[in-house]
Amino acid sequence: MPGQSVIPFGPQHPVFPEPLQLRLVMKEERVLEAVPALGYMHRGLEKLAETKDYAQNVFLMERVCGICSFMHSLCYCQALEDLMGIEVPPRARYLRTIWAELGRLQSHHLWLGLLADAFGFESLFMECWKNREIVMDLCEATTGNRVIISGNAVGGCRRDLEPSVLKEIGRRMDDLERGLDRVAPVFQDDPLIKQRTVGTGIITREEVIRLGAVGPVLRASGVAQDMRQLGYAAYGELDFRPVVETGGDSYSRLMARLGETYQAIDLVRQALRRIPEGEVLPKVKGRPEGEAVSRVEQPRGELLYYVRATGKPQLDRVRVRTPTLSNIPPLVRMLEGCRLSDVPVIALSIDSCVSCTER
Amino acid sequence: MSEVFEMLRVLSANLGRGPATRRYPAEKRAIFPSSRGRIESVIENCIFCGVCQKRCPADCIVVNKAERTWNLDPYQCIVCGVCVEVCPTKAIAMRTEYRKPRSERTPLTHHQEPGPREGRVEG
Repeated sequence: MPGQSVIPFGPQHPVFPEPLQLRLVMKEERVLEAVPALGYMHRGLEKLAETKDYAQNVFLMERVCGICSFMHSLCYCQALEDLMGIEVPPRARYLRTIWAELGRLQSHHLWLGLLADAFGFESLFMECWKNREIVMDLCEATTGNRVIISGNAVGGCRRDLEPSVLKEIGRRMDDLERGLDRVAPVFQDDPLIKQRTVGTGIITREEVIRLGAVGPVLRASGVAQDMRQLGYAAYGELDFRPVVETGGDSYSRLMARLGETYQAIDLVRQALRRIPEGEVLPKVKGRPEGEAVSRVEQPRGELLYYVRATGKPQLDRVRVRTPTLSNIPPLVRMLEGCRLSDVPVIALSIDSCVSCTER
Repeated sequence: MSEVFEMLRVLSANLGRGPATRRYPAEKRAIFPSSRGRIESVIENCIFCGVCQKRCPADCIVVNKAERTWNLDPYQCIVCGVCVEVCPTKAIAMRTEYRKPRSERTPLTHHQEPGPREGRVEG
């Protein structure tokens, strides 16, 4: 078309931690259309999962994503437990909640830092990642590893935590909250950040529902839906209400994630207060047979696992649907009509995770 | 005006504080007691049952009962610790320090000398 040009945005771009390409059809400085191209990170993990036995797959599923790895193993284990009729001990359910919220804390801190970096706000980026180290250290102290924490097993948790370690988590949550208090007002009030986020990438409540958005993208447009409302792990016993914003722009998505970061600290504290005594890993007998679906709330939104088994140790099929895949149609809608200079921040505002999307 | 005071306050606080980062490698963080650093074999205890090989999610252990060898590919190992958990004779141990980088990818082979093991009736 005359007067139009196509700009390839990605797959290698400073704002994307992982390769995702957006072909931007431009008319001068305005984006007319964004065409996403996926497939740079495909590793064939779903096929590999059919060759290993169901207990080994826990470690494989953790490696679907490098940021929300715990949630993947949690979702997989829940599907298997449902299939095999295993009752997870209450203490294990609370430990899973604590680790899941620590995972959310590190993921949201990582994203806050990346967003600051996308503006060129280097000191804020470093401050966010400095706070993130508190969570990473807690992950290593409690499970032995920073990111791939391997805390889950089918039936419960692989490790139990001593009361002194639980107390230490509580103390470090105070440090983390103090650190977050230092950066939160900058995200909320800084005129530079507001200039780049307020009113950009707007998507309405009707559109997010129609396009099937999930997670903070959905909640920033005024829909109070969060998989934690299902009450899996120990969420049903904790005081939890989804963080909802109504603006539908990049600023609302930022505020939704900031709110969830504070909420995650609160959920860890609640879980630490209420954690019961008892065993964490019962003996698992039998082989899985049938099919099951499990859903959890990842930092980026709803994660779904479908598992089918035929009574053998190996599974017949493991299907993963990740939140970023659901958030790409809304992203394409957000980019229509925006300026080229706003594309990086809008593209980052869905917090895409390409490695789990393509597996 | 209040922003200027806030900036001066942060500036003076930062001048009095040291850097937030460690001076690595001169200053190293203490290793957590529960860190999963590397897998090591305690070959004297091994009975070559092969449970570790069967349960390893990364397929990095090869046990050969006839030759009495226990073989680990440390570059394929994901240090999950399953082998340590399932070993019936505590012949595999988890160490907190990670393995040092090497320029060649050589697997680790441990060989047990034949002979009666201490405290065990053989045959």
